[in-house]
Amino acid sequence: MIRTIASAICALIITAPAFADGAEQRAVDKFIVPGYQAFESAADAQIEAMDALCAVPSDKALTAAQSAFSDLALSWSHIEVIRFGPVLQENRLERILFWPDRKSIGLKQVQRVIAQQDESAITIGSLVQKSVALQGLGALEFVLFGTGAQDDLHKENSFRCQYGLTIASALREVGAEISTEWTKPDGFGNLLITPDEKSDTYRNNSETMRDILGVVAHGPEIIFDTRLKKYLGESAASSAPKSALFWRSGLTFKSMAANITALGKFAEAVDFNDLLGEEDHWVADSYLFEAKNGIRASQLETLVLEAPISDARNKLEYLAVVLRSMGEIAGQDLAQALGQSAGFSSLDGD
Amino acid sequence: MWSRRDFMALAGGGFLAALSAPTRAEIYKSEQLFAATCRFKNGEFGLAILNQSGQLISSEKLPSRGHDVVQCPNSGNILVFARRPGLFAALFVHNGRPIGQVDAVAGRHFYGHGVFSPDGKFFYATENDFDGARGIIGVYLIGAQQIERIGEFYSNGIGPHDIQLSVDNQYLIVANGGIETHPDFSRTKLNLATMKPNVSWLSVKDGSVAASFEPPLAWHKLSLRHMATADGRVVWVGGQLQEEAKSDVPLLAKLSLDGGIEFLNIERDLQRELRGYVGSVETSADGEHICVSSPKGNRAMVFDRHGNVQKVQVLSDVCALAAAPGFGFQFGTGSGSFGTIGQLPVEINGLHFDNHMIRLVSS
Repeated sequence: MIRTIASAICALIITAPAFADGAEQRAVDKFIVPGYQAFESAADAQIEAMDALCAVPSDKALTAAQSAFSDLALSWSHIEVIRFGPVLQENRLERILFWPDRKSIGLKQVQRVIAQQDESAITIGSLVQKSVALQGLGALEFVLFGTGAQDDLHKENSFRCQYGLTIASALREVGAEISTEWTKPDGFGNLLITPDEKSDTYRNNSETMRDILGVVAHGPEIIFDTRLKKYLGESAASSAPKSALFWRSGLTFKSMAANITALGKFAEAVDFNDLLGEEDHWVADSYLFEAKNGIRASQLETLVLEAPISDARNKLEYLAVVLRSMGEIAGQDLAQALGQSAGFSSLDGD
Repeated sequence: MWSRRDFMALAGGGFLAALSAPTRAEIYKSEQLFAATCRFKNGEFGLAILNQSGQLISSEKLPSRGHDVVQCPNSGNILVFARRPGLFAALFVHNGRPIGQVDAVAGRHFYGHGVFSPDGKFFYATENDFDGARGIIGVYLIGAQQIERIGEFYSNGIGPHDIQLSVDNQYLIVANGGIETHPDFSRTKLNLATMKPNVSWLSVKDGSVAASFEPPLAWHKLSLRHMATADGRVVWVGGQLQEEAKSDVPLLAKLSLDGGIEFLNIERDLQRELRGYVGSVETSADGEHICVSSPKGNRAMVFDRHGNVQKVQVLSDVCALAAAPGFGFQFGTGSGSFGTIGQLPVEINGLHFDNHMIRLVSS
C-alpha cells in the first residue's frame, strides 16, 4: 500500500502540462482582450443611446436605449466567464454585475436612489464611491425596464435617465480599466503568457493552466449556482421565477446562452486539442458538443416568469444536467488529459 | 503521547481481533495515531486513522465530504464536521468506530469546525443562519443516547469557520471569515465587496463579545479562517485572500485577548509562495513554532513565533496538518502523500487527504 517517494522533499511534485505553450497567448488574444473590448464598445453605445434618450425622450429613443442595454448585458454575459485577473480586483466584478442579489438589497438601493432623486448618483465620481449594486447592469436594467421606467424616461432630462447615463459611464470606465490592466506592457496578459518564479501571480505553466482550465471547469457550475438553481428550484412549486437575472429585460435565457456560448468559444480559442494527444481529442470535443446542447436548451421562447412552472421546465432541467456534464468533462477528464491533476484541496478550498 | 495500551483499551478486543495480523502488528508498533478527513479511491468521503508510518488503521465512510476533526479531551471520542454547507456532525470512538451523528437543524448548516468543552459534555459548532446571513455558534449536549442541540448564539460576524477554546475555558475564540453564502446559491460568495472578517472572543456562557479584532480595512478581503493555539492564550490565524494573490498582504497573524491582532512580517518571497491562501494552521505544543500549509501554493512552511522561517517543503496540494510532538509537524496531501515536514513522505494509494487532520491523544 505504501511506497516511498524518493524525490518528494523539496522537489516540485506538480505535473506540469507538457504542451502549454501558446494556449495562454491564444486565450488572451482570441477571447479575453476582444471580449473586454467588445464590452467597452457596447458601453459606449449605451452612453450614446442614454444621451439621446435624456435629451429628446421618445418611444424610439427608449427602445434604442433598451436595445443598447441588451447588447451591453449580453456582451458582459460573454466575457464574464473570465473569473480571474483584473476583474477580481477593485470589486470590478461586483461593480459591473452585483449578482446574486439574494435579499434584493441592491434593488432596494436602486429604488431608493430613484425615489429620492439622490444627486450624488448622477455624477460618476460619487457614484463609484457608492454601493457596488448601484453602479452596474442590475441597476441599469431597473432604470430602463423597472417600475416607472416608461413614465420617467419620457420626461426630458429626468433624474432616472441621468442616473442611467451615469451608470453606463461607470460601466464604460470599469470596462476600460480591465482592458488596460490586461493589455498594458506589464499587465495581466503578460503575466499569464510569461509566468515567472518571482511572480505574485503565476510561477509556471501549471499555475497559468489552472486558471485557463478553471474557466471551462468552474464556468458551468457558476452558471447553475448563480443563474439556474434558485430560479428553477427543486420543483415547480419551489421555483422562484423573479429570482432570475435580467427577467425585467427578458434577457434571462439569452444571457445563459451567451455564457455557455462563451465557454465553448473560450475552449475553441485556447484550442485544447492542440495541447492534447490525438487519443484525448474526444475530451475537448465532448465539451464543445455538450456546450452546443446547453445553448439549444437555453433557447426558450417561454416567458421567463413562466418557464419554471410550465412545460419549458423540462428543458431547463435538461440544461442543468448538461451544465453538470460540462463541469465533469472539464474538471475531471480534461484536467487529467492535460496532466493537471485535480487538486483535491486546491481547486475548491475552504 | 499515544500508547498502544490506550488504543487497545478503547478499541476493544473484538476490533483488534477483526484486523489482519499485519495491521495488528502496526498498531502494536504505533507511537502516534492521526485522524483525517479524506476521499477514498471509490470517490466516497470518510475518516481515516493512520499511524505515523502511514499505515491505515481504520477507515469509515461519511455521509458526504468532511472537513475538520476534533477529539474529546475527556472520552477521546472523535467528532467530524461536514464541510460547508454540510448538514452532519458525526461522532466516532477513538478507534474510528461510528457511534452517533447529529444533523443540522432547519435553517442552519455546519461550517466544518467545532470544539469540545473541557469535560466533553458539550461541543460548539460554527454554523450558518443562512436566511439571516449571520454566523451562529450551535451548542450541543452529548447524552448517553443521543446528541442534542440545546442552544445557539451569534458568532459576531458572517461565515464563522474555525473555533478554539481559551485557556480558562471562559471564551470561545471564533474566526469569522466574513464571507456570506446561502444554499440557494451553493458555495457562491455573496458579499466579497463588503466582507469584514474578524476573530472574536465570545463568552462560553452566553456568547457575549469580550473582544473582536479585524484586519486593517485595506485587507478586508483577507478571510481569517483557520486557527491554532498551544496555550489557549495566543492564537495563530491563517488567511485566504479573496482576490488575486498579492505578496504584500500578510497571511498569518497572532492574536490574544489583551494583545489584539498582529500580522507577522514574513519574508515576501515566502509569502508569495503561499499564493494568498493558507489552508491549515498548526502550532507546536510549546507555541514556539507555527506550521502553515497552502494547497494553492503547494507549500508547507514552519515559522518561529516571530515569523522567521524554519522549514519550507514543496508538496503538491498539501493542506492537512497535525502537530506531532517529538516529530515536528505531520502533513497529508490531496494526492495521498503523508509524512513529517522535513522527512521523506510516503504515498498512500487510494487515499486523498482532505483539509484537516489531528493527532489523537490518549485520554
